[in-house]
Parts: sequence; C-alpha cells; structure tokens
Amino acid sequence: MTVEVALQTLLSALLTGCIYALIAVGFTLVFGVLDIVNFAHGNVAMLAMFATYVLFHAFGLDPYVSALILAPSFFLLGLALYQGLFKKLVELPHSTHIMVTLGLMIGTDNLANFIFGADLRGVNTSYTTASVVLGDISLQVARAMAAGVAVVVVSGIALFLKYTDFGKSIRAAASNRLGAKVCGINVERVYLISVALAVAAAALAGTVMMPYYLVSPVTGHEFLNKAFAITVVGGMGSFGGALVASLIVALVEAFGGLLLSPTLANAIVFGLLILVLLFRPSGLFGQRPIH
Amino acid sequence: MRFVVYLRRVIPALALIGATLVLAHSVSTHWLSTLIALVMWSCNAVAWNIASGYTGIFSLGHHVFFGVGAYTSTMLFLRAGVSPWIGMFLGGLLAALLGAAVGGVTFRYQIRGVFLGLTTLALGEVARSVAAGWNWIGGPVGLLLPMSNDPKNFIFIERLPYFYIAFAMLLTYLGIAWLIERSWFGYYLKAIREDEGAAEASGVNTYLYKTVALGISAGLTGMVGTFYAQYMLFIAPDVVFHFDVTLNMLLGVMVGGSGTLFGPVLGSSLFTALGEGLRNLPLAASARVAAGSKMVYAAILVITALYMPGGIVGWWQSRRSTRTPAREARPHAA
Repeated sequence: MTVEVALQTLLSALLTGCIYALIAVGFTLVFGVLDIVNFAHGNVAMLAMFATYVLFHAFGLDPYVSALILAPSFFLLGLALYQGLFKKLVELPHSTHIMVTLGLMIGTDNLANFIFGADLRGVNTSYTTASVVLGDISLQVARAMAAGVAVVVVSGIALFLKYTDFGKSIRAAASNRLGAKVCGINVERVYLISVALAVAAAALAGTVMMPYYLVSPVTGHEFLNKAFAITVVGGMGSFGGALVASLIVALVEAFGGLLLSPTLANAIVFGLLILVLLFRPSGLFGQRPIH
Repeated sequence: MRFVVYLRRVIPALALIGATLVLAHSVSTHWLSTLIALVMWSCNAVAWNIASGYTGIFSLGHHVFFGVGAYTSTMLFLRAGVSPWIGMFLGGLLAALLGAAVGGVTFRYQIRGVFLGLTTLALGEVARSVAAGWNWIGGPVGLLLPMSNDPKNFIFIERLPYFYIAFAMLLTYLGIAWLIERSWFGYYLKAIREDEGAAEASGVNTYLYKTVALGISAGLTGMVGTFYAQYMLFIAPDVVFHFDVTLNMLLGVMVGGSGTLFGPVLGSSLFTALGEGLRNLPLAASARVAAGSKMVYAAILVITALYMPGGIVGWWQSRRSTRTPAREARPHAA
C-alpha cells in the first residue's frame, strides 16, 4: 500500500465518517432520551433519498434545493411519528419496541420496493463526478459538500444541546427521566423534539448523499448497522462519543476493506462492534453499561 | 376423572393429526406444497419460541443457525457423500454448538434485550457476507443438489414423503417444547424471562440455562435448514442466511402467542394462509406481490405488538381467565 492510497483512503473515510455522524446522532438521541432503539432509523435516510430522487427526476430539483424542502418535511413527519406511535411506545416494554420499529423497518423497505423495485437508483448532477486534485490525491466535490453540511448540522445540534435551555432539558431527560420530570421539565415535549430532530437529521443525511450515492430499498439497513455500531462503540446515549465513533467506524471500515477485502468491510465493522461489546460494554466514551 | 381430562386433550390432538394427514393425501400438488411450507415454518417458529418465548432471548439472528444446518448437510453430501439423513443431525449439532457459543459469549457479558437483538442481527449480516465471499461453499451463487429419486439421500420426486418428514419433525418439536414447558428446566427458563435478577438471586444458574436454551433452539432451527435444502434442492446465502427466515419465525410466534405451545404453529399457519391469499392479488409483477404482502405482515406485526402483546393464544387465554382464573397468560417482557 502506497502513501497516496493510504491518504486517499483516509480522506474518503473522514468524509464518510461525517455523514455517519449525521445519521448516528439521531439514533443515539432517541436511544438516550426515549430509551427506544429505532430499527427504522436507517430507513428514514432511505426514504429521503428516494424523495430526493423523485424531486430530481420529476421537477429537476437539485438535491441541495430538495434538502431545504425535505429536512423540514421530515421534521414534521418526526413530530407525527412521535404523536402517533412513539408516545405510546415509550411506556411499553423493550420487546414491543423491537417489534414495532422492526415492523416499521420492514414496512418502509417494502413500500420502497413496491414503488421503485429493487434496482439501485441515483441522480446525476453537474457535480456528481467533479473532483479537485490535491497533490497526489483527489477530493470528490459531492462528498466534500455532503460532509460539510454534516459537520455544520452536527455541530449545530451539539451547540443546541450544550448551551440552550431546551438542549439542557434534553440532556437532563436523557440522564434521568423521572428526575427531569420532578424538576418541572416537560418531558413529553423533550421526547417530541428529540424524535423530530432525529428524523430530520437522518433525512438530511440521505438527501445530501444522493449526488454521489445509489439508493435501493435495502440501503437503510447499512445505515442502521452503522448507527448501531457507532452507538455501541461511542457509548450508549453519549453524543460526543457518537461523533468520535463515527470516524472510528468509517476508518475501520475503509482500511479493513482496503487491507483485507471490500466484501468483508461489513464483517470487520461488526468484528469491532462485538469486540467493544465484549470488552468495554459501556462503549469507549460512555459511562452507562448496556442492558 | 384424571383419565377423562386427559382424554379431552388427547382426542382433539389425535383428530387434528388425522385430519392433517387426510388433507395431505387429498389435496392437489400446489396445496400440498403450501401445507409443507406451513409445517416447515411451524417447526422453525416452535424452535425460535424456545429461545424467545420461554426464555426471553430475543434473537434476530436465527437465520444463521438455519443456514449453518442447510450448508453443513449439503456440503457433507456434495463433497463427502455423507447422506443428508446423517448430515441433518450433524448440521443440527453444529448449529446447536454455534448457538451455545453465541449465547456463551453474549450472556457472559450481560448483553440482553434490545442489544442481544441488534448483536444477533449483526451476526446474521456477517454470516451472509462470509458465505457469499467463500467460494468453496458456492459463493454468492449457492449450491444445487441433484434432482433424482434417492430416498437414502433424503431426495424424493414425490412431495408426500417431504410432508411426512416435516410433519414428524413438527410433532417431535412440539413434544420437545411440551417437555420443556412441563419440566423444572422450563420453569427456570420462564423465571429468567420474567425477572433474570430474581431468578439469579433464587439460585438459578441463569447463564447456563440461557446458553442451553439458545443451543437447543439453534439446533432445532439448523435441522429445519437441512430439510429446507433437501426440499428445495437449492441453497444460497441470500436465501438461507437471509433475515426473512428469522422474520417468518418471529411473525408466527408473536402473532400466534409467544411462550405458548401451539401459538407458534397457529401464527405460522395464519401467515402461510395469508401469504397464499395475497399471492392471488391482481398485481402484475411477482416482486410487487412479495413487497405488498410484506407490508401487510409488517402492519400485522405492529398492531399485534401494540394491542395484542400475548398473540392470539394469549388473548384467548386472558379471555378465558376472566371466567375461570388461574391460567397463565401474559406477554413476555424483555
């Protein structure tokens, strides 16, 4: 492996890691705050990708223009998802969480399959194949733009959680639901906004990936697997941990695929996941052990 | 009196067995295939129920055990000439050992509930990509078994022998589940399901019993994998290592009644019948029919989980228990 190949892989892994972070923060947020593992989280990104595809081919809208429409729409969808389903679900046992969100995952998989079929689909924008050459390595413009959006939004969410009063309520509810309630925090509203934010972030990730990524009805499963791996590696419900873990997972995946075999990249990520579960079940940065 | 009570249970069971056999002999080939699928998925559901329903081990990776059973017997037959009749038990044994190993590692590190589900789901992904990348076992294309009439090697031209084998397996599986349900072992498993900490505190070796339960469940699933291979005469990573295998078990168990003896059979039968009905939907492409049916299944899964957590059998028992108390009927909590 030459230095150029290593640098190229490193750059591409870092860009991918930013997108993973945008998907994983929502998964971590819903898990941390509502204690619900949402199996359908990856499929939110998948549905947004298909929506972007339709907007591009029907109205010629650029994915970044679509993002301005889709992110708020999916935020509303998230509000509806909480009011219609998660509000009830949060009171029920974990086995019910699994079945209901698994049902959502299978339902949306097959909804996409029913409408679009199983083929891979993409959009071809003017910048899809554009790249900037930096010395020996090249930077794909579409990926860099997507990563830029991801960094901005994830930082925004981080600042929101850290410095605003509502962000503090979210963190309080995540660390102790009952305690937060006793202190007069409107926990229901915290849940509502967390779910909506998670759905909107995943949808945004899907939308900005569309210029360089192909979507099929099972694309969401990859995102779910990555979000799960990131959440475990970073520590359950740890926001900062999820950000670092996104980069770790992307790096392990990219270099594992490069050194061993690309078809085994998925298996390598899960090897990492299982190692972390076995030897540090609270994650690299979390305090809370899993149950 | 005891004898009369006993007869009241045995006679309907024998009548049901007899009716199924008569049905198998009288229907057309198409409906016989449906019946075989129904019995096969019921076997799988009964096996999954031993881990999930009785013990509360919510595995989402049982397709790994199914695939290991299918691949073991098929590879032994194709490469070493070992009859799948023997391969079935070797495949089941290997699946059982794998299940016990998975349990032994994950339970040691207190992985349970949702995380066990996600970990086993991840394991399934790994198994599928490993099988697809391993050319010695056929790679992504899979393996074909020769089509011939070879009863010594578990291959028949007629469908009826397959029905008898599957039906015998189902009765055996139900017998095993019944024995577990009535034994101290089963009581330990249910205690673990209801409250693992309390069971541990009462002196139950929860680690050992959970591991054994997952091993039994995995082994029985692996043997169904061999049956599937011999019946379809074709296996591939995207078929036997596919999450749909586990999904079928889960749907049957959750809708029929988790942790009950006949719930899994009832649920699987309902889904097979529903699948048959949906197959005749007026949709042009068969892929659309499959996607459409799965959307219906997903809706049923969500609605059952929210409004009927004990499944059909649980719902029936809770209805009865309002009149005659002291029958257990509660949904399991992970």
